[in-house]
Parts: sequence; structure tokens; C-alpha cells
Amino acid sequence: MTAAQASSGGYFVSKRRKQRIRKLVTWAGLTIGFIWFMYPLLWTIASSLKTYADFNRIPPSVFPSEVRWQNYPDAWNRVPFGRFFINTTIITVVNIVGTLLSCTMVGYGFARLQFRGKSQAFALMLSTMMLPWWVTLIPTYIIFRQLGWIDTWLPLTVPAFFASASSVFLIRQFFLTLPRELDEAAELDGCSKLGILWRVLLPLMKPVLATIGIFTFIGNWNNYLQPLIYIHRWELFPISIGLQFLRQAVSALVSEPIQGLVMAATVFTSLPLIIIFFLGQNYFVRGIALTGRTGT
Amino acid sequence: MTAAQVPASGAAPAPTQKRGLSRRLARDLTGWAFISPWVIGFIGLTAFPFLFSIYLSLTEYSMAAPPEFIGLENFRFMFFEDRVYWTAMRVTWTYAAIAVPLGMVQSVFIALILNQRVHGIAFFRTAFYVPGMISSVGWMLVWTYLLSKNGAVNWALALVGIEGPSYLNSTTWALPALALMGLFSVGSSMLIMLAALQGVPEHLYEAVEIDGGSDWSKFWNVTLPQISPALFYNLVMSLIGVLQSWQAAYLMTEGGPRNATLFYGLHLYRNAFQYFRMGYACALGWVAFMIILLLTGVNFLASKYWVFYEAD
Repeated sequence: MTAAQASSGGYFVSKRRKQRIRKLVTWAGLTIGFIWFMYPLLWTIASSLKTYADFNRIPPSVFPSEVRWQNYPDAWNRVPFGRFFINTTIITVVNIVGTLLSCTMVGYGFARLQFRGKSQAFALMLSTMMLPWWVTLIPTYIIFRQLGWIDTWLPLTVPAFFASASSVFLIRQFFLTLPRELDEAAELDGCSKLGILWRVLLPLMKPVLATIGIFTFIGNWNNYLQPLIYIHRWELFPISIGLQFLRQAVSALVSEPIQGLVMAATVFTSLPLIIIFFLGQNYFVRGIALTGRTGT
Repeated sequence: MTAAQVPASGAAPAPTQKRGLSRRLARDLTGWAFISPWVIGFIGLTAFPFLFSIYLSLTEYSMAAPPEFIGLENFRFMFFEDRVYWTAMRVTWTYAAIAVPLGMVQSVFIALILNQRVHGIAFFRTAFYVPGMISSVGWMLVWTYLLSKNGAVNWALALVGIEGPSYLNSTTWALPALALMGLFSVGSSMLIMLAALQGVPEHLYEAVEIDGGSDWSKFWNVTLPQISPALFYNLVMSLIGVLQSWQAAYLMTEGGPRNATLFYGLHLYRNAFQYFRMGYACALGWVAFMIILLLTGVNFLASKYWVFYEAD
């Protein structure tokens, strides 16, 4: 009996020690990870305040010897970032509205309505997610060109109103978690399908709509390929093109190409993304876990 | 009374069927009306471009004149004459071989750490994700500086006495340097891994513990098989991502130095929008699509041997 006690005591001691070691390893890992991920960010922010001389000093230093706040307004004004922010905001908002409207309708149809051909249509929709966008990009470009949509925002906004497969899938999955009794009770009260969707279900859908809204926001804020091929007039540029524009403008300066301006612009164009990420973090994390979707 | 009025969901269609054909037609019409945004989008933005792209891949088309049908000439040119095509293939697969395993190991590692129960873990999860939230064009422009001769990477290496090159100007280092940059936006795959880890049933770990197994055997015998579907998913998605990627090469290296970072996607982009060889670019897109199909298929077959699904 004493032997059993001793051995069980030993078991607990070793277990506690093991837990302590594990905690230590965890903290070491977290610290290394933190330094690893923060280092390029810190360098970016520090460099955004550097003068030309500081930026090109050899050997380099992380922190600027003289803080040049002027980089921020300079970057903002060197190319018309005010214009680019307004443009991107308009494009992004239209995309969010279009995506939420169309995907809610379609998602509701697939989740709640019974009709012939539904399962085939759904399978077809899922299969389109496999298609690489390179395959459809060029014909789509030619079509939009034929429609005279070059140098307008139509190619960047209109497709949003025609439901993207992954968002529809996400919404459908969410609908399936809402009890059907809600629909049935509303139907007995004489509510139409659209009425059920609008008055009964929509108020419950905040989490999934927020998730899709955030994904759409990030996707559009960063979108580069479409603006690059469809838009050639600077008045219509979004910030992604604006950033590249700024780099060209900076390197064109012969006397003092202050690279800090590009860093500064990167910081202020990222702020809306980071704010949205912090505000909607929970929705965002859940969305990725659900669909396994990648941010960009 | 309530039982009679509210039929079990399985029996729901029964009362409507009585009303006959017109009722059924109305139901179908309502359904299709609701999914009509997708139907229109599918026809106009997917199906038609898809078929159109097959046709274009068999033509020579510069947008100045109507497409000229040339049969399989584009594909013959691609495989037998376009040296750059093979360069692009080699670059893309080399990059995949470097970046995909690194990214997967890293995301598993981070997810394992983030899955521990310590205080402030949510803070770290957020912090690890933030680099992936930097505006993507800006982030790439920033990295061209971070990877320069006296940039951030070499500053850190200098601490341990290593003098690094100017990475993006080196044919050897440009590709690994881009892979390094990719490691800083692994947030999504990290979260997928984390969700998978949190889905591992606790009793499996307890079972190993009772058998006196070590942490290592827990990882090897429980965690890894349990998260293998997520690993599989990440593998397929990253490979597809690499095959389509072009932006970093376009913005940071312009495919150079000496085509060392000429990604497949960049080759396609250039043919389409810089050389205006639309037909050839469509052919390139189709080959990429076929490779993705093949890859996914092979992965699915292989997954039977290493991915563990609950139903087995």
C-alpha cells in the first residue's frame, strides 16, 4: 500500500514538473514568435520616420537618429492619397453591400427553399470554387472591354452583386443552424418568403454577415490585379495602385528619394485594415475556422 | 393541435404536393428566383468566360484584330519553344518546395503554442496575425527594403555576425527571400490549424496519459492524425495559391534577377497584359487549371493513406 502511495505521489510530482516545463516552453515559444512577427512591423514603423540619410546609413540602425514626422504628410500629398482613399472606400462599400445582398438571397434559397434542380445547382456552385481565377480573368477582361467598362469602377463592383460561391456557402451553413420553427411560425402568420428572410432571419444573422463583410472589406482594400488591368486614369485609382504610384514618384526624385515615405504610406493605408481586424476579430477568426478560407 | 399544425421537418413537403402542379411550379420559381443572382453570375461571369477561354486558347488574339483560329499551336509553342515557360515552371515548383513545407511546419508549430492554456494567449494570437493585415501592396514594397543590403534582415543577421547579401538582386537568394516574406502572413493557415487542434477530443489525450505516454507520443499518435484533414486542406490550398501567385514577383523583383523569380502567374500576366498575347495566356491558364485538377486529384488519392477521417 505504501508503495502504491509513493508511486502515485511520484506520478503527481512528475506531472506537476512536466506542466511547469510545458508552461516554460510555451512562454519561450510565445516570446520568440512575438519577436519574430513584430520585428518587420517595428522596422517598418521606425523606418517610416527616417530621413534620407538615416534610411541609407551603413551600418543601418533600427531607430531613426532624428524623427521625421513630416514623412506622413509628405507621403499623403506626394500622390493624391485623399482621392485614393475615397475611391477605395466607395468601391469597398459597394462591394460589401452587393455581396451581402446577393449572398443572403442565394444562401437563403439553398438553405431553406425546396425546388427542383437545387442540389445540382449547389454542387455546381461548389465546384466553381476550384476554378483558378486565371482561367476566367482574360475572357472576362475582354467582355468588360467590349462593354466599354475600361476606366470605370464597374468591373470592380458589378460582380459583387452576383454572389460569390464561398460566401454563399458560409451563409447557407449559418442558415442551417437557425431553427426551422422560426420560418414555419412566420409562415403561419402569413409572412411571405421574402418577409421571413427580411424580418425574422436577417436580425439573427449578424455574426455571419459581419464575417463576410470583413472578408469583403479586406479583399477589396487589398485588391490589386483588377484595378491594375481595368483602371488607367489616376483619378480612379484605389490605394493599392496608389502605393505603387508613390514608390515610382519617390524613386523619381533624384536628389533625396526618401524611402521612408513608402513606409509611412504603408502604415496609414493599413490602419483601416488593422482597425477592422481588431473590431471584428471574433467574427473573422470564426469565419476562417469555418470555411478554411484564406484572407487574401 | 400544435402537433398537427407543425409537421416534423421531414414531412414538410406532404401538404404542398396535394395542391398539384401549379403549386409545385410556383415553388420552383420562387427557389430559382432566390438563387437567380448566382445563376446570372454563373452564366455571365463563370460559364461563358470558361467556354470562351477554351476557344481563345486555340487562337491567336492580340485584341487589335479578331481572334484567329490556330488549333493547338499555342500548346505546341508552350511545351516545345517557349523556354520561359519551363523556367516559370521550375521557379514555381522550386518556390513551392521551399515555401509550402516551411509554411505548414510553422503554422502547426504556432498553433500548438497558441493552443496552450496560459494567460494572455488571445493577445498573442492577435499579435501573430497582425502582419497579415498590412495592406498587401504596401507590405511587398516594404519588404523590398527589408531585404535590401542594409535592411532589416541583414541587420538581424549582423547581430550573430553574418553578413547577408542584397537578397532580391541575387539569383540564389531572391526566391528563398520571397518565401521568407510569405512566412509572415500565415495567419489564416495558423487559425485553421488552431481550430483543428481545438477540435481534438480531450479523451484521446487522456487515454495516452493513462497508458503513460509522453507529450511526444501524444503529438505523434493523437494530434497529428487528428489534424491531418486540416493539414491536407492547407497543403492543397497552398499549392494552388503558389501556382496562381504573381503579385510579389511583379512588384518586388519583376521576375528577376535573370528570371530567378519568374513565377508561372507572372509569365501569364505578362503574356496577357504586357505582350497582349491573349490566346496564349488563356492556354497558359488552362495548363495551370489542369495541373491544379491533377494535383487535387492525386492529393485526394494519396490522402487515403495519410489523412485520418473520423468515419474510418
